[in-house]
Amino acid sequence: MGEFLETDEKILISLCKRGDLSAYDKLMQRYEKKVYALCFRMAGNPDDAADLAQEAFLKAFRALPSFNGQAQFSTWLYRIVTNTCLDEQRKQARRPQLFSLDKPLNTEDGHLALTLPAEAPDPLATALSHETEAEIKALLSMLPAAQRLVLVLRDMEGYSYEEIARILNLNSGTVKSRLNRARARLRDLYLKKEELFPPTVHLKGKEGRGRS
Amino acid sequence: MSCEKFTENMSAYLDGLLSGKELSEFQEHLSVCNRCSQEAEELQSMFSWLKQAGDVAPPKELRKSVLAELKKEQSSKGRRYLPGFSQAVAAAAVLIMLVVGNLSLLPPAPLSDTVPMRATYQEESGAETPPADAIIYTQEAPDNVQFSEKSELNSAAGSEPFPRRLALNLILIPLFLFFSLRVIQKRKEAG
Repeated sequence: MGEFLETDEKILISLCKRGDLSAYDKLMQRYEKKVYALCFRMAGNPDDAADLAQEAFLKAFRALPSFNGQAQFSTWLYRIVTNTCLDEQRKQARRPQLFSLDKPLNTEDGHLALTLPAEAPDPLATALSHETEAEIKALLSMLPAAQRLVLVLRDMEGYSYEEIARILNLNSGTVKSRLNRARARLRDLYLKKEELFPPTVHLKGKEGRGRS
Repeated sequence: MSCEKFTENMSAYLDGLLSGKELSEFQEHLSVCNRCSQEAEELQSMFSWLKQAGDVAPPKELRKSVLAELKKEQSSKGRRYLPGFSQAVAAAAVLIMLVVGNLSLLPPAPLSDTVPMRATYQEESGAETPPADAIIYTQEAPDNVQFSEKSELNSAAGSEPFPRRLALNLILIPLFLFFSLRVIQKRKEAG
């Protein structure tokens, strides 16, 4: 973010408040990578991630008039993003009978996650269909959303404890203990991943690309 | 030899956030505790596994679709410089309904009705001063506002419009207040 001047951003924000969409385009350009990455890690698939990112950006624009500059814009924006992601998780938890095959289902054996590499000629999905990538997605999806969020923010997106505390509106003690729990849980899954994902299943999926 | 305290600090340790005494204690514990040192190693290995996750790039259409949606919203509103406009319209509409409703539900004020009543009041009053609203009735053409204020007393004596008016006011006045507050709120939000 260092390449952008803060005054520059303030100008963009005040333009956006007056409804200037090209200013908002510039603002989004600045943050879309991080916003999308966060959504992707939370959703686990590109389609849902794009939906989440879009929704978060829409909410942010509509809420901009109430942004008073007390917090950093990035913190404020990421809070909207994380809330959007958590809301979506809650919605999905409320209708567990509905699931999509391209999302890993939270079961102990994780079978639905294993079918993932075999589907969709989606360019992004195929680009990401490395074995490890699929494993990471699948294992992350087995963490409770609140834990996953903290872990993604810290260990994948590289935010500091303080930043995470500000984004999630928690005190840093809570961030620390939640992160600790999340890591311990993911470590357990990580150690079991050979059982959870016998390598052959993924290989089959990769070869399957040629068929369709 | 209790690992619990150290497990709690594991994340902070791995993130290099421990210092001084806390750090040296932690390191000392790791050197004697197999379980905790193994845990730390496993976590480190998990981190490098996580680092293999590739960069994800947002789809090219992301910003475009956001802007398209916002453009739609802006043109359908067409008045984003007047925050609270729709609430103000709603408040005005409710106000009109209030006025019209109250006026149309007034007890009929034509002479045919007031004349006999005036007669009774005059009979009763005699030496006493007439009741407050009798004064209104005895005046030839009371203006509507005064009339409607007092007519509640009158309608209690059996005229039908009163409960309807009461209902109308009970519904519309809170509604009016609600929309008015929303207007204020929206204007505040817009700064």
